[in-house]
Amino acid sequence: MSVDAFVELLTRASTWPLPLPEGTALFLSDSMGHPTLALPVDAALPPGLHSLIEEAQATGRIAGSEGYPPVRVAVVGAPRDCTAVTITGPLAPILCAPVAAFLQAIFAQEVEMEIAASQMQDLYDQVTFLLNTSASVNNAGTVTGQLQALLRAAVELLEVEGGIVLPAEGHELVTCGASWLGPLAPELWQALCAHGEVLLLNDAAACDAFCPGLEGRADSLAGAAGPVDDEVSVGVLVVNKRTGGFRAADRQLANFFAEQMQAVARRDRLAAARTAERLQAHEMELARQMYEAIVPRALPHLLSTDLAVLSRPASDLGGDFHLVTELPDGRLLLLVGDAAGKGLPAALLMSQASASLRALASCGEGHPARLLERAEALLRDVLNNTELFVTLFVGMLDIRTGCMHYADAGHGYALHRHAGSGEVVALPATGAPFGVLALSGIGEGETRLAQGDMLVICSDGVIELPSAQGEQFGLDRLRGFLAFAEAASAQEFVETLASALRKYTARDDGLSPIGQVDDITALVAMYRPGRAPGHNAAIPPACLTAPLDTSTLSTQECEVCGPGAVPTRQATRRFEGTREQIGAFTQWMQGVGLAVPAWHAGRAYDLTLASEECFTNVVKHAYEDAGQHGPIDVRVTSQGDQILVSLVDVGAPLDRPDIVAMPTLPDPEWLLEGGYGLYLMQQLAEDVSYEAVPGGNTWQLRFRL
Amino acid sequence: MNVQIKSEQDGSVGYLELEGRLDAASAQPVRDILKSFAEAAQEPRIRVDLSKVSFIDSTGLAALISGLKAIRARNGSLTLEGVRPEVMRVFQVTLLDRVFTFGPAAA
Repeated sequence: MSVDAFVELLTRASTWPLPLPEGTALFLSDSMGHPTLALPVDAALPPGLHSLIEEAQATGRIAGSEGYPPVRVAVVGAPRDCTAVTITGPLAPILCAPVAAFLQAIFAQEVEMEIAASQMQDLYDQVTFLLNTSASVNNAGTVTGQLQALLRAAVELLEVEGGIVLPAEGHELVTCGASWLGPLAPELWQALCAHGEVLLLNDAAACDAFCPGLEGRADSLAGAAGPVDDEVSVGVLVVNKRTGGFRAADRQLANFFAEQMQAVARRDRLAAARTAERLQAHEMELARQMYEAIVPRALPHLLSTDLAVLSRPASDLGGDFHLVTELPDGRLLLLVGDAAGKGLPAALLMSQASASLRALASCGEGHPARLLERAEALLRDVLNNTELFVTLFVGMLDIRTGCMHYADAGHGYALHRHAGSGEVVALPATGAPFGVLALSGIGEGETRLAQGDMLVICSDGVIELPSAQGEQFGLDRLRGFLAFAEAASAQEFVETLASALRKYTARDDGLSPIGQVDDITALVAMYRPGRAPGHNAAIPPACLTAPLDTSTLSTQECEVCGPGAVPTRQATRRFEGTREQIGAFTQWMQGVGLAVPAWHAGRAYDLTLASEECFTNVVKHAYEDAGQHGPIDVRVTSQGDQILVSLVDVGAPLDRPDIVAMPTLPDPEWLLEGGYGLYLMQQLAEDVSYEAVPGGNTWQLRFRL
Repeated sequence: MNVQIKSEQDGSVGYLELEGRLDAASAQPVRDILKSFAEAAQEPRIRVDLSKVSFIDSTGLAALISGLKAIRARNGSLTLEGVRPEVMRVFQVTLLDRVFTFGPAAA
């Protein structure tokens, strides 16, 4: 047996056309990756092989084609140079062992040639036979045909009367030469699985003990099942070896055939699954195209109202929708809706709702509440027949006056940021969601936008967005963020919000955040009537140089924008001075901290903690201990490189105002239960000041940016 | 309520799992539970899982201190588990990180 003959053998066995580069040696390794031998070969590599080799080098191995385990073949260029290629095909795994032995024999030929000669011939014949079978298996086409080809090969190689592929379900019954085994299939399969490993039996009694149904018709039996696999399990069983009994070597052959049959069945299952997936993907793609057509992407371009939207569906299709369009009477319609759920059902519901609302609005329905009521009537049938529901906000903004009438069916996430005071008001819902209860009428609300004011209408996907620790973003945090965020345009705000949400969902370990659970929508409208082109009404540059009166923080006149424009940003909110409000205040401050882009989480946390200690202090000492009740007015301003937090209450003064400036840390070993609040404020803020004023108190904390 | 509390006690071993914010609105029940754990047995061994607590202020600290004192008075031990890095700040600034025993979050 010459090297040439071997190379020819290998050529037929592999999918790659030789030749190999000069000076190349060929290593074979088994499926476990153990190299078994090397062989020098002369030839040149075809070009198409390079990428295959590169990939193998990069990954360490190449995956076999579906259902067939890979076999590694290392092609050695120079002594230390290793590349790997793969042999694919159903019989690839079996090639290693006999071919390795075969080649080893060649290597050893100087010493043991005569002894190995007959073994080599047998091996060569066996491998040749297997290769021929491989071709017929590949050509068979159907699963049944492939199993049949494999069974035929098994019967011939093992020299038996006949055999059967088990279990006989999922494909037609496959027997070869012993069709009487057919009816026994379930019993044989059960017994084989129970046995667990490769089975060799060489007398009739043992066979009957294994499977009574055989009734003496089998005097020898060999069987094996493929590796345990959740989806697919196939085995082979053959009976009545022609000469002598089954030998130990037959064990490997039986096992091999079982594995191959299982690989065929698994490959078939995968192909079916892939077809189903492709079909589904195609339908989803069509639906997505429809969705794109229904949800308007473009917002109107207006000078008076700057519009932008953050829209991120959780999957390809979403239940959130938004719409901004000019009404026949010249007002601007702002619409945000959320159809419960996500994916196809929600998207379909959304498309219905959106279409109804657009039609009604363009026909001149000028009252938001009436618009919603009429849309609800149109949608009622759909909603009654499903368990879905829809929340909606619709606003009609008169651009000339800034007056907006709105109606809100169970939505409740429309926020109005007042540029002048830095206050963010949450516009309350005026009715229940569609589809939840029988509608008992929807009310109407009103608000007035001033120059520089911003409207942000969100879906609950923003409010309920969880951090990596599972804490929801929350309305308070959003209000704090909106109050303090710096944005010269609606688009800029959208980007600032998007990056804050990213910061919020970031994980400590730097892995990418968990997948988005719900659709996220934030429609932003910045109102700036009479805006001259090229001039930024929100933060006029001229005003930044004007001195700021810190004690009253009054608004400044700007000769460019007129009265009401605020030079630096500030956020204000009034809280009730009660313990129950501490949580809302904490979240609000966390939102404020999130709006400082330069700050990382630690700095924002310091701001929140120190401010919260101050707030708690006021609740306890100014109100609770003194038996009083009242509000706490919070104002956060940025001034140059500092941030000022001030808390104003109308409660009782501190007994000992002098301690505010004194160092106060109790010795930790004393385990005192109080006194840490003030110390924390002093440590975390640059400066803490307190002043009792007539009728109340003012605390101020200063933080360096 | 800003905090959710789960507690288990088995003889002298007590386990408390908190979720949410430990502040002036939620500290009292925590204080009470720690006290009752301490008084329930000799040499109580108490673990408090804080891995789902996003915020602790000085009032929350005070509740934990009062628990620590009650437990120490019975020769017991108190371990705070899974304290988040930002929450550790409040212990570090007040130097109470030298006084409490900390452990990793339960797997």
